[in-house]
This record gives sequence, structure tokens and C-alpha cells, in this order.
Amino acid sequence: MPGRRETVRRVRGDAGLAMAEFVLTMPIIALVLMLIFTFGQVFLERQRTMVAVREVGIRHAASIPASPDGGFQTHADAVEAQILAPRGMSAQITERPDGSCPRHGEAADYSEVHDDLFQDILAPILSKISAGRSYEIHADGRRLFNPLGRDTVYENCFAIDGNPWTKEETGTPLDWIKKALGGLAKEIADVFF
Amino acid sequence: MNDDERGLRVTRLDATLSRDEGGQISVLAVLGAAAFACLLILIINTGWTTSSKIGMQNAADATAISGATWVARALNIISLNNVTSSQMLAMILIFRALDDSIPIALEILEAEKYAVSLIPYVGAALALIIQAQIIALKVIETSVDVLIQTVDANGNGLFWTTMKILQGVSLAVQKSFGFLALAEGDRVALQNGADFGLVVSRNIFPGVPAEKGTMRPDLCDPTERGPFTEYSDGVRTATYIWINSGLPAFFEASRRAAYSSLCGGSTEGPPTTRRVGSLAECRLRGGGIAYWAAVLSDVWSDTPKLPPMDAAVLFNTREDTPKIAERTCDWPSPFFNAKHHRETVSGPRQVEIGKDKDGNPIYRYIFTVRDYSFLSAALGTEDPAQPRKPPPRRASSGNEPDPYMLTSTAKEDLHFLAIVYRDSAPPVAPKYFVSALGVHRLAYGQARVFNPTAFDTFTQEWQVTLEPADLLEGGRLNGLTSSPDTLSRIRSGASLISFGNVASFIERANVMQYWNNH
Repeated sequence: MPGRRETVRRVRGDAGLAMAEFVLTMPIIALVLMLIFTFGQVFLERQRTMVAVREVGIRHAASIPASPDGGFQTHADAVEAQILAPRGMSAQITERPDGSCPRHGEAADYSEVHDDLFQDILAPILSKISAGRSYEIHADGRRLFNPLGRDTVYENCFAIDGNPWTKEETGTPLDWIKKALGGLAKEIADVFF
Repeated sequence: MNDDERGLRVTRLDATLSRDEGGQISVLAVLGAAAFACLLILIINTGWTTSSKIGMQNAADATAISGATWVARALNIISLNNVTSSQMLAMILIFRALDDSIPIALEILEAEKYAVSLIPYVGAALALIIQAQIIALKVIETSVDVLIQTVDANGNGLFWTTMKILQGVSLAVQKSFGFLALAEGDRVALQNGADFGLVVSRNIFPGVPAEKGTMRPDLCDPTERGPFTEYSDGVRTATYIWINSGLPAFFEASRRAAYSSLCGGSTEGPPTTRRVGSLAECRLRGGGIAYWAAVLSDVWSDTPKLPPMDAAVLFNTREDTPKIAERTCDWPSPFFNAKHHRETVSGPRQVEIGKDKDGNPIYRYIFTVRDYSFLSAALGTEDPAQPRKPPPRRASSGNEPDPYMLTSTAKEDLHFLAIVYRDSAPPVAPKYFVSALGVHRLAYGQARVFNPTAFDTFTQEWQVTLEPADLLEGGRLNGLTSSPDTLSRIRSGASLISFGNVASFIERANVMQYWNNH
């Protein structure tokens, strides 16, 4: 009704119109702000999971030379408590002995090495003798705003080859012989060697 | 409508528009939303780029550790082979010593048996005991004969063959594990999301810094200091069952003779050091060098006299230089066998700590003391500051088990720089968010191979740790990378090791121009 609008405009002038428009645009701005905040938070949490899984891998690799087990679970618990828990995140960190980190949606390709010679000769050797390990993290984030209505789950993987075959890991040939002998023969060997 | 009417109408419309402010907020809101959207894109791209950089750094560190780990493995395998060889050599020497000493002991036992049998009443019983000793020793003699024929056989037995095989294994490991370091570095980089990873050392190719030594003294000396002495102690203890035959003494003499005949004696070599746990034992065994942990501390005292050690209040304890003091075993006193000793370095210094109720100052006294805690002692009287000259190196006969030793530049060659590369662009509006490096992303990591116990190839404890990338930052590779033929050198090195794809990738991505611009 153009006539009525004109009448209202004549009576009110432009007073209140700006407020109405501002109120109408507020949800859009709020949504964009929420997205900014959410994306920022998502990236921070994602980076934390990357740092956490790397930290577990490096710590575990560094402790293997002193003890073959390396205390994986101890390191995983410590890293979760130190890096993830302060942000209200929880995680499940697992260790795989094949040293591969398949990309999303792809099967593990352990032998992925450049060059034909490496592909044909060294990669199969590596797949047999490499002591590479991979560490996978499955972390739950904590959203302040949750526009998608579901928890954000972060998955990351870190592959490293870190046990250098120290004496603690391998033992000595004398140890192998003693172990193979067993029983009384081992006791006698222990006396002399 | 003529021109005048049209002009009048435009003027009215202008006037109306200038009075009417409706819709301005909407325009501002649209502009604001666009700005926020740009901010959102910036945040997404920045977050993504940061995540990508963290991922690349993870890949670089994993690549450096994984590549260096193969070099550490090589040194550990070489160490294991060397130690195994020294253990076999020690056993051969002990078998030879037993083979020489047992027949003499048997002759003496036979004579003793005859002699004691002449003693009335108890002679028969004693002769029976000695007969038991003879039987046992003959069983051992037969076993030793069999063992010598099997494992020694004048340099052609099982142990000698095994030692030569181990030497061959060490050679193969020394030559090949550098390639495995390269391949594993690339593989791990790929598994961690990079397009390629390259592990380089000071000399570009990450080789194993070991070379062939000679049996004398490189294998003989560690054998004497380690397993030969250790096993001999065990065997000598067992020979005390036949002490009445003098077997322990004969074994000791034969042991030294066997070592001298095979290894040329040890008098020229470094002293045989055996650790003992007390000063008294060190003195009883002829003296040696005692090692004391030294710390500097300040001590409070109520009087200007230094209080006894167990009553002193220590504060400001700090490490002394050197941390480990070396003294002869009769220090601090020939009759003193305590585990701790204290020396006053300075003091007392008078310090006013307050006033009493009458207003008189209260003083305390501070002494600076050096406390020593006994650690262990090494037998022998050699001055550790002037060790004996090592024996002359003897040329290998070519038929001897020569161990693999570290090269003279090993310390510098055990640093490994990993370079990982990824081609990546921001996920949103990439052409508006172009970085100075384009889509090329490089990350660096460096690892060092070290041995916490001894820097040699007889200690199987080589490990890897991350370290600052000083091969790049410290200029050790910068001179190389700034030279115009860097790319060709790396390419030729890469093609030499059949890593052609990586070399062509480096060239295609023109990575080298970003080398010093990371």
C-alpha cells in the first residue's frame, strides 16, 4: 500500500528504519563471526592433534634405545594430559608397527618410495627390515559454537622409523646362544661369560 | 517530455534521494558482511597454511630421524660385529691358554697323587681326591682339544671364519645403509604427507662414516680390555678347584703368552684398566687413579670454624669444573678410605644476619667448600693426562678379521639434514593468496647420530636425536648451496645413487632457489 507507507514516512520520517535494518543484518554478521570463531578453533585443535601425535612418536622413538618396549602407553597418556587435556580435548592414540600413514580414503602403501630402482629393490627390503612405526590419533574437539550440530573429530597420523637396534634392543650373540641353550648349560655359560 | 521537464524531474529525484537515508545500513551491512567473509577466508587460509606448515615440519623431523636411524643402525651392527669378533678372539685365546696350561697341571697332579699316596693313613684318601681332579681336568682337556680343533684350527676354524664373515657383513652395511637412509627418509616423508624428502649430510650423500681397521691393535686392544680380561677372570676362578696343581698361575702365564703371540703383547698399548669400587681395594692392588665427583658449596656456620661435614648446612651448591676430579688412590690420605672429602676453598666470610634483643649484631660465617664424593677407581699407576702411546699399527695380512672403525671425520659426518617439499596452495581463492614462494613449501629438520657411552664402534649404543638445523643455518651447507653448481652437484649425486626422480623433481620445482629463503 504505497499510500499508507507514504503516510507513515511522512509521520515518522526515517526514524527507526536504520535500527530495523541493523537488527535484520545482525544474524548474518553473527553467523559469519561464529564461523570465524569456529574455524579458528577448529584449526587450533587440529594443530594440537598434529603436535600431540608427533610428540608421542618422537618421545617413543627416543625411548626405544633404552628399552625395547619404549613405554608407548606412558608417552601417549603424558602427551594427552599435557597437550590435549588443557584444551578440553580427549584422544585415543594408537601405535601401528608398519610405519605407514595411508592418506584419507587410500589403502596403506608401505612401499611408496621414489624412483624405479628404489621401488623395485629397496622398497621391498625396507618393508621387510624397516622398524618403522606409525602413530594414529583420534581426538574429539570441544566446540563453543557448534553450527554443524556434531562433534568435531580430528584424525592424524605420524610415521617415523626410530629404533636404532642398540644392544638393549637386540642383545648379543652370546645372549642368543645362552637363551638357545637354556637350563643348566645357560647357568654354566653365565659363570664363565 | 522535453528537456526542461526531464531536467526538472531529475533535480526532484536527486532531492528526494538525498533526503531519503533508507537502505544505507543495508548497504553498509553488505559491505561489512563481505569484509567479514574476506576475514573468514583469510582465517581459513591462514589456519590451513599453519596446519600445513606444522605437518611439513613434522614430516621433516620424522625424515631426519628416520634417515639418521639407518646410519645409527649401521654403526650398531658394525659395533655388534666388532664386539662379537672380540668375544670370539677372547675365547680362542682362552682355549689356547687352557690347552697350554692343563697338560702341565696334569703332570703335577700325577706327581702329587704319587707323593700323597706315600702318606700313611690319609694318603689313599688324598690320592683319591687328586684322582678325581685328574679325571675332571682330563675331561676339560679333551673338550678344549675338540673346541680348539673346531673354533680355532690355527686360524682356519669356525670362529675365524665367522669373524671374517662378520667383517664382510660390516663392509656390506657400511656401503649400503646410506642408500637405505635415503630411501627410508623419502618413504617416511611421503607417509607424512610430503611430496618428497631428501636426507643429506655434510657431503650430500648420507654415508656411514666407518672404515676398515686392522686386527692389531684395533681388535686386539678392545679384546684385551674387555672380554679377554672378563672371561679370564671367570676361568681363573674356576681353576682354583685345581689350585694344588698350580693351574691358576699356569693359566695366567699361558693367557699372557697366548695374547702376546697373537696380538703382539700389550706393553706398548694403553694400560689395562680395571675398575674397583673402593680406595682400599685400589691401594691393595697396587694403586691407581680414583675418580671423585666434585661440587662447590657454601656452608653456614655459627662460629668462624668450619663445622663437621654431617652437621654443616649447605646452600648454593653448584657444579665444579671439572665435575670429575682425578686423584691417585692414596689421596686424600694413605690411611683414609672415606667416600667423601671436603676442602675449604675460601672463607670464613662474616655476614650480619640481624640484631639480638639488645641491639647487638648477630653474625654468621660462610665458607666456600669443595666436596668430593668417591665414584670409582681404575687400577694402574699411569698418569691419565699422559697415556701411553698406542702400539704401532700393523698391516693386515689380508687373512685376519679386521674390524670396522670410525673415520677421523666421523663427528662432522654424523649430522643429517632432511629437506621435505610439498606443492601446496591455500584452499580458498588461491590466486588471491599467493605467497612469495608460490606453491612451493619446504621444511627442514636435522638429526644427529650420537653414542652416549663411547664414541667408538665397540659400543652398540648409537642413537639419534633431533638438533637445530645448523647444517643449513650455520653455513656448513650454505657455501655449497650458494654456489652456482649446487643443483648440478645434487643432481649428479642423486643420479649417482639412482635417485633420479628426486633430482628431476628438484629441478622441475626449481626448489633450489628457495633453499636459502625458507
